[in-house]
This record gives sequence, C-alpha cells and structure tokens, in this order.
Amino acid sequence: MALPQTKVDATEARIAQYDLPASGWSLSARKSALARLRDMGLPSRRDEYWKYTRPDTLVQADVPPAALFETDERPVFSDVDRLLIRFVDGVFDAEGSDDLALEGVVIERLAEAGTDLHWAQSLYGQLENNGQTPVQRPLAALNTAFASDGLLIHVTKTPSKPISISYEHRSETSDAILHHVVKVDSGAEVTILENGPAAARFNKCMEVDIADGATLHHVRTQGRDHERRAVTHIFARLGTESVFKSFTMTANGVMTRNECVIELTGDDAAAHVAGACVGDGDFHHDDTVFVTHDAVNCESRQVFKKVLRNGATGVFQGKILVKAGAQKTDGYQISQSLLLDEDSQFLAKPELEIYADDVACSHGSTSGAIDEEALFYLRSRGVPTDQAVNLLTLAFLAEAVEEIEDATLAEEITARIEAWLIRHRD
Amino acid sequence: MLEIKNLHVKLEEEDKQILKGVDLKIEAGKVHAIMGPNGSGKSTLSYVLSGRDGYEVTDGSAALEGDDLLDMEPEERAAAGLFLAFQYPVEIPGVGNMTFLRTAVNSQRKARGEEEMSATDFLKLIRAKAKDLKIDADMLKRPVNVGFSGGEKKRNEILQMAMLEPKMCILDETVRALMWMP
Repeated sequence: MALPQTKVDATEARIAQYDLPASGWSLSARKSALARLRDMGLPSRRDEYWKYTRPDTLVQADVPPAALFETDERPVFSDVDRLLIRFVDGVFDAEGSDDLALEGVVIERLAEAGTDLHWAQSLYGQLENNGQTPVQRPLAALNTAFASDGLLIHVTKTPSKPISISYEHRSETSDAILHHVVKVDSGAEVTILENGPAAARFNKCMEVDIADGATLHHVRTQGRDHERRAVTHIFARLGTESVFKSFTMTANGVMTRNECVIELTGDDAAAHVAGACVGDGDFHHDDTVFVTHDAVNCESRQVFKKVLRNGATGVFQGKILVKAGAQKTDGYQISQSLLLDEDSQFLAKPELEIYADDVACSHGSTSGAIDEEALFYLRSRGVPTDQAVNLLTLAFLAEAVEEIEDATLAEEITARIEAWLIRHRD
Repeated sequence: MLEIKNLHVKLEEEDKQILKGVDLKIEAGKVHAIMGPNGSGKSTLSYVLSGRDGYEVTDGSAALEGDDLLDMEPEERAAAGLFLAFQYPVEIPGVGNMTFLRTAVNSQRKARGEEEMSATDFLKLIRAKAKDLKIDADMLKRPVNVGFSGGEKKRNEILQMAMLEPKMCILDETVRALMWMP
C-alpha cells in the first residue's frame, strides 16, 4: 500500500538533513535501512503503535529547543569504578573520556571503524531489521541509516569494571543520533551503564548480541532536563543460557519513548527488562516492549513502574510472543502506575500471543493512588505525611529497582529517586 | 493523662452519629478496659483519638496531658506520646520494618526537638528490644507486617511501642487474630 503523501513528505523532510557516509563497512546496512525507512515512513499519530504517544516532535525536521538543566547534583555513577566514555550532544568527547582500553573488551567508535571488514557488520542494522516485524519501528531505521557515531563493544572476557557511557547535553538545539553495537562472547559477563540527557533530541539505538552462556547487565538513567526528548531502541538477541538484564530510571523529560525488542533464540535464556520513572507536569514517558520466545525453557520478566504527578502521562505497551515450540516458557509482565493526583494518567496495553501449549505467562496492569490505610499507619507512628508518601512511593518502585543485581547501583538509583521526590514536594 | 469530655462523633460521609457524649478520664499508670458489643464505637473512639480521616467531631474535646488532641495531625499526636495498636496492623509491601521503625523514631524525636538517633544506637536498641520480645532478626528485615502471622503482627506492634516509648497506648482488640494455644 502506498504511503499517504503527508507521511512521505514528513519522512523526506527529515531525511533531507542527513547524508550517508561516502564509504565504510556500514554503508550497505545504512542504505538498506534508508530503503526500509522510505517504505515505512516515519510514524504519525494515526499509527496504532503510536496511539498513546505523539511522535511529531521526534519526527519533525526542526528540533524543539530544550533548555539546559542547571544542577549541582553530581552525575549518577560518579563513584563507580568504571571505564568512562562521554558524548556531548552526541559528539564523542575524547578529553572527557578514559582511554578506550579495558582488558577483555575491544571498544571502537562507529565513526572511526573504517572500511575494512568488521565484526559489527554482521550485527549493525541486522538486529534492528529483524525487529521491524511484526511491528514497524521507523525511527530505529532512521537511526541505522544516519547515526553519526556510537560504540562497537566486543566483550571477549569478563572485564574488571563496568563500561559507563555518559551523555551530556550542552546545546539547546542539539539533535543527536547514536548507534551502539554490543557483542558479548560465550561465558563473558559485562555491565554497561548509561546516563545523561544526551541532547535536546536524542535518537539512540543499541543492538545487543549475547552469546551462549553470556550475561549483559544494563543500567541506565535518562537525564533530568525537563524539556529534552528521546527515542531509544534496544534490540537484543539471546543465545542458550544467556542472561540480559536491563533497567532504566527516568526522571523528567518532556518526551521519552523507550522501545526494547528482545528475541530469546537459545534454550534456557533469561531476559529481564525493568523501568522506574518519576514524572511531573509535562512529563510523557512511554515504555514499549516486545519479547519473543523462540526457544525452550526461557524466562522473561517485564517490570515497569511509573510515579506520575501534576498531569504527567505514562504509557506502557508490552507484548510477550511465544512461538510454537517455545515450550516451558515462563513469561511475566507487570506495569503499574502510582498516580499522585487526579490530573495524571497512565495508558497501558499489555499483550500476550501464545502458540505453544506448555507455558506459564502472566500479566498485570494497575493504576492507583497512595494506599490511605498504609499512609495512616505510618502517620500514626509519627512519620510526617510527605515523608510517609515518599516511603510508600519508593516501596511502590522497589520491585523494578530490585531488578538491578548490583546492590550498590540499586542503592544509588533509590537515593536518586528519593532526592527527586524530596525536590518535588509541594 | 487522657481526658475525654462529652465527645460526639459522626461519620464524615454519612449522617450517622457513632459516639454520643463520651466522658473518660484516665490517670497515668492506670489501665482501663472499654467493653461493648460490636458496632458500639470502640474502634471509632480509638481512631478519632489517633486522628484517622473519615470522622467528624461534632462536639466535645479530647486532651493528652492538657494538649488538645483533636487539633493535631496524626503524626503530631504520635510525637505527643499517643500510640494506637491496630486491631489489624497494616501490611506495607516494599517498606522494610527496620527502615519504618527508624523513620518513626527519628521523626518523633525531630518533632519534639530532640536529636536524631544514630544508626548504630538505633541498631543496638532494636536488637535488645527484639531479643526481649523474642522477635528474630528476619522479622526486622522483612517488609512491615507482610506475611506476618496474626501473632507476629501483634508482637510487631509491641516492638513499635517498645521503641517509640509512648505515654499513652490504646490497644484496639489486642487479642483479635491471635491463635490460642491451649
């Protein structure tokens, strides 16, 4: 079916600002991504997959400006012993980064990866392409075609410390497109941290290939700039007995769409995706998750918790697809919102599609206010109302935060959320 | 200690008078039992004294050591020394018992203008009190009342009393939800 002309125009207007590189190993993948982008067209409000989130500001050619957020709070993960890699408005910051050297890991930049045959060639744009069916993700194809930089991370052995990617936002009109490729070899275990607002508008894609018996921990926080916008995609492929655990904390941001597409292709693998977000006022946060079980005895968990106040909006679209033959699947999905007032809203679309007959899948979605009984109990013991509300709010988010395996990281995330709650008291 | 005069209370939502002129004076060091059939207003009296929403005092007064209780928020009443042991202690998933108790102890101290208790002092104190009450360490770590048996919940209320050292305790149906071991 031909695309509506408005969609063609919007897509061409956006594409017009970018150029494909003249050469390089990624060129053919970029060209095919551009071709599928033209076939799909960039999303519009009329697309079912964008029913609850207006894509226009993520699509339009002009970047809506985003004021910089002044804070004296130290960036998250500052105290973690880590390999730090920094991008400022999407541009690699060599001075602010450590040497890209870590035993057991080869880290290169996409922008410098040259023309020779490269390991990432078999992944770059490939996992993204796989993730385009059954649901189209045109902003990810845009990313593959025009990413200006990114990291190619090949983990051959378990490194001694996490790789920490920090995104700074310094220009009010920056428009950044980054694309990372992560390959974790058999038996290796690695932690990747991400933090920061990145740009006025940020389009980020991360393709992840986790080999048999390998483990990837991913913990990210999305920066606090109120006016920043972001669309991110994770495409993860899991081999036999591999583990992928991804947690995202989002505080503020006028527009966030985080898509996570996971394919369990090897038996006995486990994928956990979790998110905790706190938002106020114009905050709009969308978690869109698609987990495909295509192997036996795999486990998947989706745990998303949103705290919304002053008219903030939360969206969750989560799907578990169990293919025929994916027996003994254990799928769990929960999405909950805590609405701190009557102006905020939570829109959820949980979906299960199951073609195997010996599986356990559960899903639940709730919206609620603070439990008055619990609040009175705490107050009757002398805890002032605002502190009691914060305690109950942190308790509400706990199930998501507990998905972070590293206790120190989990504590830091909890402390950040608590600080946010204290700052946002009436 | 506690002086209730001519207390009239109705439900906020409906026009139903529950307490119709309660007078009660309790001296320090004395134990009083209030008895009556179901629905006669025993729990209502304890909730009104501790400041729960949903009740409207239409007449009368209640004072703890001369301070007007009805004018205070629930947390202020607690800091003033009032403690209500719940008939059904509330389960609070996600909030650790220890965190809860420490927050409560220090909130009350802060409200009274006293210094907050350090983490070490608190730990020492709660371990000693828990030992006296035969409460094991596991119960302190678990979320408040979650998965506790009826008896554990009541013991947890007693532990809170021991830690908060209130002046005046109201025990609402203390033996409710307990199993009798003959």
